Parts: sequence; structure tokens; C-alpha cells
Amino acid sequence: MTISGAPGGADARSLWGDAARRLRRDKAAVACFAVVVLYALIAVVCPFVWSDWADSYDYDNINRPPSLTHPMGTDEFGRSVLQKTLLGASTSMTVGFMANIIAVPLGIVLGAVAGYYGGRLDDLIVWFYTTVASIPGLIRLIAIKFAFAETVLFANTPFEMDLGHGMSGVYIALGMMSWVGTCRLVRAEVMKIRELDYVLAARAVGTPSIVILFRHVVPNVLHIGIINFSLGFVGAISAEVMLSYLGLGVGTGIPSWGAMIDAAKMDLVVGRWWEITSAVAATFLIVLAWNIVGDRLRDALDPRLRTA
Amino acid sequence: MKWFYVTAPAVVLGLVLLPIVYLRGEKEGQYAGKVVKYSSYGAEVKSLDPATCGDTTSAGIQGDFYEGLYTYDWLKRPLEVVPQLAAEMPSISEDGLTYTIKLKGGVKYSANPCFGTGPDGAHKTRTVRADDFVLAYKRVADYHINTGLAWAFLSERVAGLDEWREKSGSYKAGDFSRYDLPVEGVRALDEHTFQIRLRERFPQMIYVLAMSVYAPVPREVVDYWLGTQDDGKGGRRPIPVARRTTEIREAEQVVGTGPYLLKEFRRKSLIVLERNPDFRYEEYPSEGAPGDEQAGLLADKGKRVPFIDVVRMDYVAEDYSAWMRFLTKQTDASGIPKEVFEFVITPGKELEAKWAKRGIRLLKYESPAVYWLVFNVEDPVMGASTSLRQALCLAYDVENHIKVLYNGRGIRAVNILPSSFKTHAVAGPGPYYRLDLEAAKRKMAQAKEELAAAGRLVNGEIPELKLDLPGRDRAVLRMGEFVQQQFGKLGLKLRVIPNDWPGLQEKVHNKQCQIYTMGWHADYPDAENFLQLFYSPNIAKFTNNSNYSNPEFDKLYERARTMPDTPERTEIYVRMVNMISRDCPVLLLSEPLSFVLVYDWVHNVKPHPIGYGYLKYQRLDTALRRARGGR
Repeated sequence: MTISGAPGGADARSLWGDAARRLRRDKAAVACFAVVVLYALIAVVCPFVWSDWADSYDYDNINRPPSLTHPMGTDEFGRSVLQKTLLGASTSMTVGFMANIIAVPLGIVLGAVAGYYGGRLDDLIVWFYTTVASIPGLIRLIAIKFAFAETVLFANTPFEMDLGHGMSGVYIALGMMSWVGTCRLVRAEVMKIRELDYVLAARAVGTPSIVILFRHVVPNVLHIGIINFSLGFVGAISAEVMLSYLGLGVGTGIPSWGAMIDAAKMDLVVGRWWEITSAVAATFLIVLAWNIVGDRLRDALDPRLRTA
Repeated sequence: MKWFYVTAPAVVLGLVLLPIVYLRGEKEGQYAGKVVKYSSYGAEVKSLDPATCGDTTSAGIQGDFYEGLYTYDWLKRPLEVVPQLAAEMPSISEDGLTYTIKLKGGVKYSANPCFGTGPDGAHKTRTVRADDFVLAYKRVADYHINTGLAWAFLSERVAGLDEWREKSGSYKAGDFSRYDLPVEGVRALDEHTFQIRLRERFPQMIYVLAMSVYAPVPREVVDYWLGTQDDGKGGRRPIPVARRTTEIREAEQVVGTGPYLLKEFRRKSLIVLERNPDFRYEEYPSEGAPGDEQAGLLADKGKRVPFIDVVRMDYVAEDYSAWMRFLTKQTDASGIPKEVFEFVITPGKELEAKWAKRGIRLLKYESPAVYWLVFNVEDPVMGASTSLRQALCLAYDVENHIKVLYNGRGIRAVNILPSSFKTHAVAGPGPYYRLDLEAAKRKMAQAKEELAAAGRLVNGEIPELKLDLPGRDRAVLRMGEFVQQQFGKLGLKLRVIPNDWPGLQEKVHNKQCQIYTMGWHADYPDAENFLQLFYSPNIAKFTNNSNYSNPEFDKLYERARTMPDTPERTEIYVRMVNMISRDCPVLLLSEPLSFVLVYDWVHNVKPHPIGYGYLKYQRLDTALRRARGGR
């Protein structure tokens, strides 16, 4: 007897297809996703359009209020605040993306290994992330930044990375501190999956454990990675803003919302509202949009969390 | 149970109110009947020890409780050195090598437990002796005390002092018996006569004697405060040699002769000075510079000083917070934060009328200081190309640097000397200390050839330059960004590296910086004070921080430093200034112009360009302050 159709009948859909369908039906999620895409476009395009922004200083027009020439006014060096804000999106999105590119795979791999193999390896990884998590987030971030303060990787090559003062230092620091959550969740999920029949079957026919782990187990926890990627993005953006505000973020001359808030923090008292307003509004919008997208993505990918 | 309902809210209320009572700060009536000056400070006081004082903030505080042999007349201009603890100007031998100084009689230290306690429990005091100055000079030369600036002026100049320093290094840090070793050139001839013998003529010695870093230190302070500790039974017991510190670091250890004593010192929190009851009789000056009489600065002539009983200084790190304290009349004077400058000062650099109506007046003054970017000429790139340094100087827009970063509070520096120094005008502006982008670009072409010949180009380009800055706050980073913009005009990339202050100093000492910001405030009104910053033997003493080395310059310096103030010396000074202007080991930025606001209840304020310790002349009209809503 042959089997016709997919298991579960003609209406059965994959997890991803089901999630995409649910997301498409959610207007708020679509709107917020559009905002995220818009920010991503801005982040990609603006650095090309205003590549000479850093040199666009005009010392005769510093701290000017909004006008037709400069719709959001000018900054302390006479540069357009609107352009600075849009270019800041590039910094934030790059930091958010790169930090999670480091954190999420790290969290998935460590969590999967701990959850699947258990025993001493699990103890070691749990001890490690418990130790890391016991240090308050901001302190951890600042400590990592200081630890790499004088480190320059691949010096005098096109891949030079100044961990102390460049953007690379920020996203490596953020990546190294934000993998713990993903690792915890993945470990717990893998501990459940490793006892499922299909894993036992694979083990019974002699499939090497490393193959089972990465071919059969990890793909089933990828949704956790995606959810954490979207939620971590928000965290990374906020952390970059915070670090730059503290003077520990991206280097000087790189537009950043945190640096803008830091630069303009005393401006409000003398009525110069435009720079801080632009930076805060830009941060608020992307953080809100990412939060909603992340929440809805989690609901869509994890049926147990779905609300009525 | 009923008691519980009664006592529980009372306990909770008490716990809530307790911190408020504790944090109230100034206790009610604490200063009743006293004239109190309220101020704030924003930079850390790094030193309470005269020997280790090397920054203007510490010097400003120390000047009110430590005094040197000489000082500067507060009012007279040009500056005039006058006796302070000395009875008269020094008697100088014919060869110019021996300075014999008679001390004023009856000058007392502030009472302190180190001098013993009387039967009534009051701390004793004693008069200043010549051997206290001998100890002060030995401490400055002490190998175990970090006396960078104070030592730099004496090293290789006073007979036997360098040898004494070497010997002191063979003692353990806590072994104070080294202070019993004699120094050939520093002697107490009797209780009231102090003598210094120099190795060679040093015409600026009188200015060195006017620095309070060489204030007298009684041996009792070393033996009591640094050599013993409280035994818990009301007595003292010796501190083991291995555990002793060598520096004065606590308020109770401060023993000076000045008009005030340090009552309280909480690092980065609070400083309280109180009138020193043992301060000698001293009168307000009766002569000043032209215009002082009209400015009301001689109204108190002949009156006994000090006028103020207590000075309370709160640490306020943020400029704007300090400004708000001033506006709410919690402090008597304030600087002007960058953000509000344009609302307070007119484009003509005068006080806006609305502020004057509030009883505020503006004090403007130039300081004999020059700020610059230092190029480390031992750096493989900066040292390999003079043209690169010249190009950077030509491309840098100093006028906008002053305008954008400092609201125009400064004047462009055109040679390494402050404009108030007479040699400044004679030497004239340096050829590269001007804005000329075309000339800078031509120089850059030469720079590339020089760096290519030295093998310092990376992929045919000048490698990224590095600028070290002393801080991470916005004002410092803003400057870094401005420098990036200026160097960017020549197509150069600049990495800005923020540091904390001790970190930067360490990097500078280890010659790890390529370019960094620094400045020099005159210690005395003689060009030699600035020229010594480029004398190559001073690289080892950490005063020549650009590591500039030019045998011709060194030869001229060695010739000029023993010469009296003559046209010939001025001519040599000019040649040396021009050498620096040509070789550009520094990119000159600005001479600062300070703006200070004071309320009209504050009298007798005239900033001094070099000296410290003039708070004793200040007078407050506290009735007017209260009437205007102040404290």
C-alpha cells in the first residue's frame, strides 16, 4: 500500500509555512516588519548616499534649529542632524546584526552540545554560563570593552579590527555577553528532543552522535535561535546606545544614536531639542518595531506560547 | 497586637526619615556666626603633599595652607616676587651660586597632634625653623616619593642633591633615617637662616623659591603621622618600616603655616578649610596695579587678613550642576558651561545685561598657558617626517577649534610661549602655525617622500595616525572628532583613543603615544620654563614629553640657562623658539581665556596668573548674600 500525500493529511503545513501564514495575517506584525525593513534599507543605502557626511562640517552653522535646508537642524559641528540620525541606523543595525551573528550560533552550539551529551560537558557549560550570567549585564559589557581596549586584530590589513575603539569591539562585546539566554533555552529543548523516538532510532542504526546532533536535533531548535535573534537585536541596539552614551561605544566620527544623546544631553536646557529628539525617536521606533516583530515571531514559531 | 500597629508605622517612618536626616549634609548651626564661602570643584585633588603637587587643582587648594619662602605680590603687574616666610629677599653670593635666606621670626604651624597635646587637651604648635626647609628639599629629592614636577626644577642644579637622591634609593621606603643624611647644598645655618648652594648659575631660582611645592615640612609630621599609628589605647605605636607610606595623604597630616587649615577632606566629595588660629598677623595690601584702586581692590587696605572663616567646597563633577548651584545662589562664583555660554556672554565677550542686573559680574583673564597637540618625535612615523608635522600644523584650523570647542574662550597660540611673555612678541609667529591648506598639501607630498625613504608607508599610504586623549567624556571626545576632521582634510585617518588621566600619563612616560593633547601652564614668568620642555636631557625627567632632541637647541639652552635677563639671552631664546616653530614637535592650539562669574557680595577677587594662596584677601558681604536669597 502506498502512502499518498503528506503525513497529517492534505492540509498539513510545515512549522515555517504555518508561522509565515500567521505573521502575514497579523497587521501589526506586518507594519512593524515593514519598519524594520525600512531601517535595514536606510542602513544599507545611506552610507553610500552620504559617504562624505563626516566631512560635511560647517563651523559657521553649528547648532542651528530645523530649517528647510536642514529639516532636523544641525549638530555641534554644523552637520545635518537628519543625515546623522539616518546614518546612525546603519551603526545600530550593523551592531545588532553582528552581535547576534556571534551570540546566537554560539548559544545554539553550546546549548545543543550541553543538552545532547549531558554529563561533565553539560556541567562545564552550565557552570560557564551561570558564571557569565551572574555578572550584571552592563558591568560585563564594560569589562569586555576594557579587556580589549588595546587589542587590534589583523592590523594594517583590510580586515583590521580595533576592538578597543572601533565598531567591531562593540559587537564582539555584545555578542560575547548575550549568548547565555539562547544557550539555556536550546539546552532545555535539546534535552527533550534527544529522548524522542526518531533520535533513538537514529542512534540505534549507529548514526554518529555528532551527525544526529547537527542533522536531526539542531534543525529542530532553530526557531529558538530565530526568536532570540530578533529579541537580541533590540537588546544589542539598546546596549550600543548605552555604551556610546557612556563614551565606550563606537569610535568618534561614527554616527550613533547613543553618541548623539550623549552629545546633546545638556542641549535641552538651552532649548536645543532637535538632536536628542531625533536620536530618541529613531531608537524608540526601531526598538518598538523589533519588539513587536520578535513577540509575534515567537508566538508564530512556538505554538505553546500562542495566546487565544 | 495593638502595640504592633502603633510601633510598626513609627519604625517604618523612622527608617524612611533616617537617611534624610543623615544626608542633610550641613548640620544646622554648624557655621553659625561664621563667614562661610561656598564653592564647588570639578577636578580631583590629586595631592595633599607639597612635594607631590603637580597639577593646578591641587596647587590651588594647597596654596591656602602651605606657604613657600617667597610668593608673588597679589595685585602688582608685571609680576613681582615678594617674601612670604622669608624675612627679606635672598642674599645672593657674587658668583650667583649661594642663596642665603633669613626666615621671618615667630611664624607658627597650625596646631596638630604631631607637636604634642597640652594638659587642656589642645594640640600644640611650634615655630618654623630653617631645618624644616632642609627636610622639604630632601623630600622633593627623595627617591621613594613621586615628586615629578618639584624635582625637575632642582635636579642637577643644587649641589649634592642628586647624590643625596641616589643614596636615598638605597634605603627602604619606610626608613626615614635617610632624612638625617646631610645634603651639601641645602643647609640650615641656624634656626632662622636657610642656605642653598647651586652647581651653576640659575637666574630663575627666585621663581623656584616662590613655589609652594617647597613649603616647609616639620620632621614631626614624618615621624608622627608616617612613622607611627594609633594603638587603640589613646597612644601611638611604631608602624613597621615595610608598611609605612612616604606621602601625606590625609587631612589630619596636613601641617602648614597658611591662613587656613584643612579641616575635612573627603576625596571627590568635600573639602572644608577653616581659618588657622595660629596664622601670623598679616595685612591687606595697600598698593596695587594701575586701575586696582578704581576697581575697589584697595578698599580693605591695612585690614587684617583673612576675612573668611570657613571655605566649603563640594565636589560637583558636571559643569551644569555646578552652574545650577551658582544660579540658585548656593555658591558664590562659577565658571560658565559650554552649553549656556552664548546665553550669558555677548558676541563682544561681555556679560549680558540681564545677568548683570541679577548682581553678577564677569571676570575675564588670560592664563600664561599654551595648549597643544604633542607629536612624539620618537614615534616611527611622526619622527621620520618633519614635513608631516609641518603639514598637520598648516592644515589645522585653530580659530575654529577655539570657536567650536571653547566658545571662543582663547587666543590662537603662534609660538610656544604665552603672549604675556616678552620673548613671545620678539620671536613672532612660527611659519607653520597658521592655516594654509594649499601649503599643507604641498608639505604632504614631501612627507610621503620622507616616509617612503624611511620605509614607513603602508600600501603606499601614510598609515592611520593615533590620538590619545585624557578622558572619555563628551568634551574630550568632541575634541577628538574635531582633530579627525582637521587631519581628514589631508586625507589622513586618525584613530581616537580615550584614556583616563593616569593611563595617559603612563603611556606618555613609556613613549607609547603617537599624538596626544597636553598643555603647559607657566610655573614662573620666564621663557626658560617653556623651553626646558624641549631640552633633550629632560626626556628622562618626563618634562620633555615630545621627546624632541636637537643638539643645537640643547647647546643654546645650556648657554642661556645660566645667563641673567639680558638682550643676548633674549636673542638666544628667540633662536630656540624659532627652532621649535620650524621642527614642529607640537601643534600649537590656544592660550586659554577664562571667564568667571561672581556675585556682587564677593569682594577682592583678582585672578593671579601664576601664584596661589590669595583666598585670604577675599571678603564676603554675607548680609547682602542673605538679602539676595543666598545662604
